[in-house]
Amino acid sequence: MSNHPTVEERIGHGVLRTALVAAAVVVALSSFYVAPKLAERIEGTRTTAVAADGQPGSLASANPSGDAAGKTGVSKAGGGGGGGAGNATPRSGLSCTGDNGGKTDVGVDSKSVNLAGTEVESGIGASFLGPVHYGIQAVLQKVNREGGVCQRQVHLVLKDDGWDTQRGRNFLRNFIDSNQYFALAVVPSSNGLDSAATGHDIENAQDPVRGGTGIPVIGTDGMLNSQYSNPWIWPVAASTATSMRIMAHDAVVRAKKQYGGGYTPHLGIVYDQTYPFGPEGAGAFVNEARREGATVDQPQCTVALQAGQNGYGTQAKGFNDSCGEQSGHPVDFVALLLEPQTAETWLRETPFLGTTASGKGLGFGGPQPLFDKNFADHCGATCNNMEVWTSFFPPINPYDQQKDVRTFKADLCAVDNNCEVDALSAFTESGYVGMELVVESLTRTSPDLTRDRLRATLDSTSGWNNGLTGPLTWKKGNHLANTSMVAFRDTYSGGAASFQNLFDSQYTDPCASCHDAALGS
Amino acid sequence: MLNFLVNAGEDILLSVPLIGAYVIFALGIVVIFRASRVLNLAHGAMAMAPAYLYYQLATLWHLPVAASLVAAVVSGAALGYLVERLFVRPLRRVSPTAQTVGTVAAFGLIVAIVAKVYGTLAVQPTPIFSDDQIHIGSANLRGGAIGLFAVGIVVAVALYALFRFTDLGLAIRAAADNRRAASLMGVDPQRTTSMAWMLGGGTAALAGILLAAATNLEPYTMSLQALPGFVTVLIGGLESMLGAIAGGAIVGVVIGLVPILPVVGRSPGAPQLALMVLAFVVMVLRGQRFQSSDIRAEGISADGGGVTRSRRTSPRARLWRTDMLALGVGLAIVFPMLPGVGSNHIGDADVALVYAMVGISLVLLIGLVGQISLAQASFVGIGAFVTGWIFTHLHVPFPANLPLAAGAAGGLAALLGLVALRVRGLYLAVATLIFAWMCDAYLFQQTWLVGLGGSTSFEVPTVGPKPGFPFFDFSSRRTFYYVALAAVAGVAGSVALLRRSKTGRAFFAVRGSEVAAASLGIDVTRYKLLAFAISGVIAGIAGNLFAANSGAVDTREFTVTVSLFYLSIAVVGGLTSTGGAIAAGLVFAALNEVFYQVDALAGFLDIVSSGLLIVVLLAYPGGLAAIPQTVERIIARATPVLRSIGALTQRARRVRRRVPEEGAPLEVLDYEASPLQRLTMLRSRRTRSSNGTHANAIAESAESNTPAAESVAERAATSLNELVRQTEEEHGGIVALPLHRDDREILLGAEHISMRFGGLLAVDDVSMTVRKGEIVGLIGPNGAGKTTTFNCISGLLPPTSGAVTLFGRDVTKLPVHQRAKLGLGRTFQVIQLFPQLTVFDNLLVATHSNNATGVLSHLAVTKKALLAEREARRAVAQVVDLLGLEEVADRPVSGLPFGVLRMVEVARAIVTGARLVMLDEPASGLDNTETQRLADLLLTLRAGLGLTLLLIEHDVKMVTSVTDYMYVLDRGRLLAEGTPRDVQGNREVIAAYLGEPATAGVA
Repeated sequence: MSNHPTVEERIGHGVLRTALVAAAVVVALSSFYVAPKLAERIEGTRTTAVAADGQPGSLASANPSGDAAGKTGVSKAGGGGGGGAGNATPRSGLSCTGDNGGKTDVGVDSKSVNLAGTEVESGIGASFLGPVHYGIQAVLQKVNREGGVCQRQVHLVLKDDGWDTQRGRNFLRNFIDSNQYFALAVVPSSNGLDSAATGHDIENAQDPVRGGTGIPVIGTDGMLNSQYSNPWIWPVAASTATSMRIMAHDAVVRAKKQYGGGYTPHLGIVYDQTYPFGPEGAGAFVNEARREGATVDQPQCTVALQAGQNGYGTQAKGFNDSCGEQSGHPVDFVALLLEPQTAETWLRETPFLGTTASGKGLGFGGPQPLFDKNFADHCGATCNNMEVWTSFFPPINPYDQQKDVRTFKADLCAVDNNCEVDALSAFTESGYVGMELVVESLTRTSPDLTRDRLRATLDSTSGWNNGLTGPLTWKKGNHLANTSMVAFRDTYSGGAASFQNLFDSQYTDPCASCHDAALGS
Repeated sequence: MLNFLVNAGEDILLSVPLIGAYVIFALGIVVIFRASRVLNLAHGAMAMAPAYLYYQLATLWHLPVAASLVAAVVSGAALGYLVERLFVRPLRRVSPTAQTVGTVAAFGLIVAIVAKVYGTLAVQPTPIFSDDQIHIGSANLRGGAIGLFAVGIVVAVALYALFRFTDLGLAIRAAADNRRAASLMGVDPQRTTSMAWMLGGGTAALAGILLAAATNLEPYTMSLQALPGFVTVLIGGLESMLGAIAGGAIVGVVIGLVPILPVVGRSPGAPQLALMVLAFVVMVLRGQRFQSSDIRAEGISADGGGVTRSRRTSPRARLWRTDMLALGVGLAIVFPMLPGVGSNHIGDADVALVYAMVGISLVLLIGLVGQISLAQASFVGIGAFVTGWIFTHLHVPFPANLPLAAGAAGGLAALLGLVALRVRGLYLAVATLIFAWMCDAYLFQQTWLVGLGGSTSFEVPTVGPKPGFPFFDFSSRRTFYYVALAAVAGVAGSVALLRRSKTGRAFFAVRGSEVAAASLGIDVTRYKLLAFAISGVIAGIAGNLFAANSGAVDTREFTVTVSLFYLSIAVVGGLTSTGGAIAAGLVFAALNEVFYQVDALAGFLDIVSSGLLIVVLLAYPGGLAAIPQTVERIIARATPVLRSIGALTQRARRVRRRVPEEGAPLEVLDYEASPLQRLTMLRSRRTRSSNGTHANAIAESAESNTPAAESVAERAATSLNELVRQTEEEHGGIVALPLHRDDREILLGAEHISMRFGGLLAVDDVSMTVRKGEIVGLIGPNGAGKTTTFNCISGLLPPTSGAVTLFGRDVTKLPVHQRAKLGLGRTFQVIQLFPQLTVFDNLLVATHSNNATGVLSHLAVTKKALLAEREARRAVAQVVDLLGLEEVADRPVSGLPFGVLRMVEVARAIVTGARLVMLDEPASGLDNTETQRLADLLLTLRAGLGLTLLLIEHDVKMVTSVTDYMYVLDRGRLLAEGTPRDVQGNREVIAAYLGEPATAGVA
């Protein structure tokens, strides 16, 4: 008998077997194909529903004059003073006459422009990056209600990457490789974008319609240095490095003011080493402090924390021993470059907070991740008197009466029926401003919407006054548009936290052109 | 100095509250282990979930703290019951390790559900104790922390009293020690087990709630808080309450002292590093005890369910596999070219390939070798981070950096494998879990390795000048897909080659019985390390692909929970099947994609993954790999015609394999030749003369399909008698032994052997010899030290004093496998066959020492390896034929009659080529007829093959009927020696056996 199956066996089993195996493998492999389609269908349904609320075609009667001219170069999309949900008045720059050019580039056709981005809805970063979603949606829904940009609805797909570098970058690469998206918008999840920028995915993105390379990433809340040096990314927020330099500068100025010009301030920082913003910001803080004549003892008074632990007792004790009152040489100011959950856990360990029992010292403070009302309420008395910084004008006195700030707040309420979203989160505002820049740049570039033209538009934007920051200017080779911050003091009383403005004017980065190395590099 | 001491004291003070939590965790783990022999890896999750209930009641709904606390603790007890009832009890018939994997599934499911409901942001439950602080020096303690410590003490005292002084405690202890005996005494073992799990769940809940109230609460972090509890019980002993309390104190102090260590003391994860070192040291020091007490831990499936390497695969199933492989490969190749498939889809397929690669690495380690790893994500991470480091610092691009990444992961895996040399089963699982925890908390926080901010990013490279050839743009998903596909195919092919080779058989043997493997000449240490290293290398390749694919490496991709996810892939795939692992990789990548793409499903992926793991564990142990067989069964059932064709083919193939191939020309019989060589010569001769009629006879007998021990023994007797007759024909009679014993060559000498276990002197100054051609008996009453003497001779135990010589060489210091290589074979009192292998494969394992080829030649499929394999199979076929085992050769040994198993063990010893075979109670469990047949067999083996035999036996009648010389042991001492007649008449021997002087001889 042969060692091989007989012909009869082959015939007997072959057809059915082959069919079953083929079906199984095809079904398995096709899931990769089906899943995105399924998602698109679901996403599409949701986006369509948003657009249907608007008034398609109303832009035909839009004010054609616009105020694009003037000194800003790109008009402001916000405006509308207290518009909100009911404000359907077309705004300048949103319309265009006649044919809008149809399919002018990747992800653009006559009816829509498709954008994508990654966000943080899960994991430790969601506590402060989560509200960005509302800021984005506030602008997006408003513009779509008003008919979109140049008769094109703006569709934005956001994917939650959990603030994970690898996952975020994979999402972005998938967006880019799919050739379905014209640009990346806001991208609040900074780690994946940082990785994509470092790995040149952004510059190398192919444009199969018009040729060339590069995909615009517009209106990011920035923070990481890589975004400010990339020719295809236009951030709207101040960088972490800028924030920390400003904080160091302020601490030194105040210490010298309090103790005399000859005094050598002594500063400390506690930073998150689990995420890139920590070492990067800590490096800027330490370098700026030293540039201005302060001392920072390393490593005793530059404590790196692993995010998300449920206790830092021994590290807090180490910090107290080396930099606290008992050390004999306490630091005058402690900067907390931490995300909220880690900051709160750290603060509960009762570390030295920059003020001795006799009242000497400037206290402690943190940059944008800690400028968050939810965090302040949650942290309670532990965070009392903490300084918090933001690069936007929040709805707090004296900014809360400004027209654009009121519009921002109203628009937020329009996407959140209970109006519970944290308008005092720096990142909510960042998402709002970032999306406004997206809309404005699309508007200014339309109808012939191409990536290269969009890039040129953005790189020629000068003094864009959106009302929520100082005037912003992006130039080719310099995307450090926002270099200013304002500070507030967190005061906790009666079971609720509130913020009081600390300074009359914005602080500006004392060394915006500095390239400070990350701590530990 | 004073400052230093004060500082250290304050640091320890800070860890005091943790001691309370660890003690409670550890006590819960001990209670559960004592009752069910299961290491509950879901303990942390069982602490976390009730803590969230407390948060819900006390914090969100503002119910009274005390009532909320009680309700949450009760819910913890209920959760403990549910975990035992749903995830542990159904797996009791499999193995303790399988039950432990069941708790892994429970862990995943509980954490996933809570994370879905409450999210992953930390929350702050209402404090139970005062939140005021106490300042001691520069250390600050909160009221909650101090309360936690106090509760820990109270719980410890209460549990100790419960176990020591109550009926329930006694019942739990009794049921744990011997369920059957306990039930005979009126104890309901199931009830006590459930009670213990409820107790464990309640204590876990209490610890979790107190810890959460004193710190904060987040699903993943809190679930890992029980890990120090495992270190605690490893230090204190898994069954000791007092040990758990002491262990908790030690762990707390170690954590407290870590900050004063130079260099690493205050770096993140230093406590985890210190605890891992502590745990490993303890495990290495106490490993031997663990091994003996964990004798049933043989992997996830002890009976081979779902992991049997079946030799009974039907032709249809083989066709299925061939077609599946061909179609799978074909579709995989054309997939990127299919219309509508974009690069993002190919990117998903890349992820599937990486998952498949990790799955294969676990198949090799768990499925083949039985070494459980819960740290596979760590090895993937090491491969990925080394890739990033090499690219960033040395500018070596992919794929040139692949060998270094794979090597680094393989090296570290081999280091972890060193621990596996001392512990196995669920202890090894815990060791790997602690290793993964350390990697997560310490290694992957080292900025020199992972980059600043916990991640490294780089540009996915191109290789070669563009345009031109060779030019590879690895940033192209399509290009990378084919590279990854080739890598997976290469690795899968390599593993397939390995498993069919000597190396693969050695892996299976180590998995089945380390003792038996060593006695067959397999260097268990080497193969364990080899398995860890190869598995690590494969995981490292996966890590390299992972990093190169995305151009980024992030610590969050390689956490403990990701390791559990990878375990799910391997288990769902079927654990022993590379094809299953690949299919599971595809399934999980597809699930990944669907669950991430569809927002409505966000957060459900972990729940579904854990659910799949549970379904496979409980309901379909074969996993995806078993689907073709299931489909085949369904089709065969539906089509009787096809089934009959299949059966015919199966039978024909069985016959074909048994027929020995034409051998070398007949040589003159030579007693100097080894028994195996003699067998080859004789069988070759017989095969030629029988001219194939024997094969037909086998085919006919195979049809009867009755593997009775009787028929096997009868066939063996026929074959052996024929063998003896042949020998007589050739030599004119059996070659006789020299008349005087002193004239016979000494093959084995034991000189003044003593073996002491603590205060017990098991063997006391025993000397004995076994000479060429003899059958020597070693008898003695129970506890006389016979098996211990055997173990000293074979090398399983190092004698406290004395020397052992084998074939004229001092082998006292030689390990078991090297003695086996010299020609010493043995069988075991408790049969040590490899249950997941067939009889034929069991015997094939025994060819290990005679096969000089190595792992590289197996991978390269060299001519030498092929010839060696062919020779090994021929030798086994001859022994199968000789001992009448044809009928059962293709059956897994589990389920075969006891007499047949005894025969298989003897056959295995013959296949090793041993000249001296030690048989440990071979007649144990046989009836009178079988015993007589065995005696005949031993005599004919000696006569036909020239074997020298040393046997331990209780059946004095049998042993005196076959032996030439006897030694009698009593209470570890040599009582008498001499011919059977001398011994039978020895009064001291009679007294030892009967307890009093006897007038008659030993019957």
